[in-house]
Amino acid sequence: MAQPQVESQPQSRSEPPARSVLLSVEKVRVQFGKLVAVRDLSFELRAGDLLGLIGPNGAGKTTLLRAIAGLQAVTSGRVRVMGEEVRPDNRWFKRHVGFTADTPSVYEELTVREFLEFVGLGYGLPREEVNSRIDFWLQQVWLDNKAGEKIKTLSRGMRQRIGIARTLMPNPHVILLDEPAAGLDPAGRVQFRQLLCSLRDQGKVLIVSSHILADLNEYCTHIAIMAHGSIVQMGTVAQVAESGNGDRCRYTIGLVRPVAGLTDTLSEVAGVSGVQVDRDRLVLEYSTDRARAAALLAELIQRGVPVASFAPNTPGLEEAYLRTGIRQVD
Amino acid sequence: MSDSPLSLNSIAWVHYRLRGGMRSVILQSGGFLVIVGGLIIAAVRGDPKDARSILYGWLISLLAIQVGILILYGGSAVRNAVRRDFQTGMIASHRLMPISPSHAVAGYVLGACPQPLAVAGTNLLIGLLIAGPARVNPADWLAANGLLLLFAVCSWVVVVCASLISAKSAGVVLVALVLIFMSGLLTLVPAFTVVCSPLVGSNIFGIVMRGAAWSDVLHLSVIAQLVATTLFFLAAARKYRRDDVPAASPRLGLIIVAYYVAVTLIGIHYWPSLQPVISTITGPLGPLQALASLMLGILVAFLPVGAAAWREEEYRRRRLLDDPALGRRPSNSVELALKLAFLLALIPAIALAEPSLTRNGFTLACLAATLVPLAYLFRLTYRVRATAGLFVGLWIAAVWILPWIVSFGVLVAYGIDDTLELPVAWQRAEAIASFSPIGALISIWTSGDQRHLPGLIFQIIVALLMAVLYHTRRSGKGELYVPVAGSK
Repeated sequence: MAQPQVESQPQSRSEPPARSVLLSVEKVRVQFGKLVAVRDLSFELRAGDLLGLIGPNGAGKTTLLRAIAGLQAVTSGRVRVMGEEVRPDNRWFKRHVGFTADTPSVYEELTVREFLEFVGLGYGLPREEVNSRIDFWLQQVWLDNKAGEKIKTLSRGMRQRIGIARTLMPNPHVILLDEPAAGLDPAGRVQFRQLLCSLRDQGKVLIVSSHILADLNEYCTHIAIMAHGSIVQMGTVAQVAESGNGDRCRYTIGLVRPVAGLTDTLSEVAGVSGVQVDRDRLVLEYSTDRARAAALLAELIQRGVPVASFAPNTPGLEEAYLRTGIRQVD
Repeated sequence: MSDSPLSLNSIAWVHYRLRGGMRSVILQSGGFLVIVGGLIIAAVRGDPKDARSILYGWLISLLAIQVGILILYGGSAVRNAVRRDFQTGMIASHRLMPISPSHAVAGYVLGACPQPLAVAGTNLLIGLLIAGPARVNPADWLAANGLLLLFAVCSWVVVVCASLISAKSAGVVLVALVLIFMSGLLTLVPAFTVVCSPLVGSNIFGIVMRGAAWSDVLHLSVIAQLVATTLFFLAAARKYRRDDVPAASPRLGLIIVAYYVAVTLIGIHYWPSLQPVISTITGPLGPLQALASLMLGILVAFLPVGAAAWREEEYRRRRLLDDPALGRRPSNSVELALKLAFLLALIPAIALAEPSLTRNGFTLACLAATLVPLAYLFRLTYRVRATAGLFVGLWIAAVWILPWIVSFGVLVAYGIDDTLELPVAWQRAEAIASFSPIGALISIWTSGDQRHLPGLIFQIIVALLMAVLYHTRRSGKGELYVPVAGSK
């Protein structure tokens, strides 16, 4: 089925030119009491950018998304969507920003179709278009056979999909998704990835907050790692994955059998840090230099460590994230 | 999708659906028709000779039931609609949509009320059918219902506004309305009587029972209700748009105070034709009403003063953070407090036709000395708290009520001190009470001498001290604290 028309009467400023800046975040700060949830963040995203937002719980990801959506008042700074400032009294930007919370709000007593009808009315879509859009998006989120069922009878994953359909109904240019895959089953996650890629390729800006780093690796164009309200690292996926991969990296060493007192043994080896032992598996940080790595392997064997395998960890988001040393925020 | 007119407003449409839609409209109004119609038929058949008086009694009862349907049933339906959206988190979903705040507020009223309106419509029709046999002019029945509907719409908007401010406050509003009706407050504060006159004073029951013509005051009451509805509608829309700001902006608050002053003056002027039947206080009420209204007016003035102080503090925080979206400097809360003092001083000056510059000057000074320190108190409070209710309450207890307690103590001491004469004790008590703004205002307008001067000077000193305290406690960026609701 072809995607429904975005606007019944397209306005010149509604259709952004390719690769134009759609989202601009300028010195945005959100503070609650003394806690700075989002600390003076600035970045820009262009059409076709898909930013994956990662970080521990309490890092400020949700607050940032809510601030961009206009749901959270900012203490200072400003957000612009397609050049228009995000303010509670600016209704124009709301047509172009979609936001799905980690647990989307719904009217449980309504059927899926009724709920989406309500959303269509709320966005002022022409009546004849509402039904076609509902059919289209229900098919996209694999709920076309649930249209007539009351939302209260559906599972968490299905409600999550309704939330995504609700966000995409008005066909926004900037799409903000907070933990969208949390309630989805494995098949749903695969389909969801395809949907995100399709939206990205249509030239939309997406920000997806997720803990599932392997997924983000596949569909994101950019990654931002957040901690304590700040962006610790931000860049393209490749840049972030490679970042910090200078003179040290993590090695995973498989052991023939578990060895007692291995941590003490390794503490005597110069240059080794971040040792984690898990039965017959060992992770440590050491120089990236191949010659030095070979010397380390030789020394381990010399010290009687029964090494079965020895390999540097492949650069990736998980590695990049762990290398930042971010701990869970209390 | 339904093609009903409600589909023009998505919030109205969804709440109408959630309340059962057309099915519940038919069920409720049909059920009402069967029960009430059956009871009326049974009553008339039971005593056919006295049918006229039975139907007349039923007509008055139907009017009372109509009050219940429109005010209580309608009000609670509106409250529940807003509360449901808060509880389900759908209010945030609505705020994401490009719906104008006024559209949303209207949606809550329109979506929640079709069922109450359908039952009320059935009630209206039953009344229309029995009005003729009960020898009541059907036009009077329609006029009374029309007035009641207007008042009900006003009350629904007030309930939406209160519900958006806080889920609990809508219930408080309903309780407050009942208490106002039951207490003598209607007599002391004529502004209430003007706005509530379809139910008290020149009321709808009089129109049905006596065929009372529309008085001037009823016309003024209708205008006052329309203005009140507009003001509360604007406040509700503002609160819907952004829930972390006070409902009334400084400008809207100033308009609300001006409205209150105007309605108070109308109420005092038209009191003879407004006076509620249940009023127990007799005699010349002008001075009492003017002073009581003035004191309540000071409380109403807290709204704009607090809102202006909130904006100033937000601006201060943004400036400290070098905010790129700083915007214009907001209006000064102290200047606004002075404007409000002038506005409120008009109540006794006009209502009591008092040309004395001394009295009016003292009144103005007292009001300024009351509102200016409050502006500073609000600003200091908003540095550490999102809401100012606690600190303002403590301030009122200390500055307004404490002098009265001491004053009362002096009078008690008179009873156990034989050396003290009553006039002396009374003078001392009055002088001490004038350290409170209430006591000072009473003293200014009831006694001929200048006994209130020490108290007034004390209040001015307190105002200056608050100014000094505020200006010496300017915090830097390092101390920046952003209060949030429920914190600290």
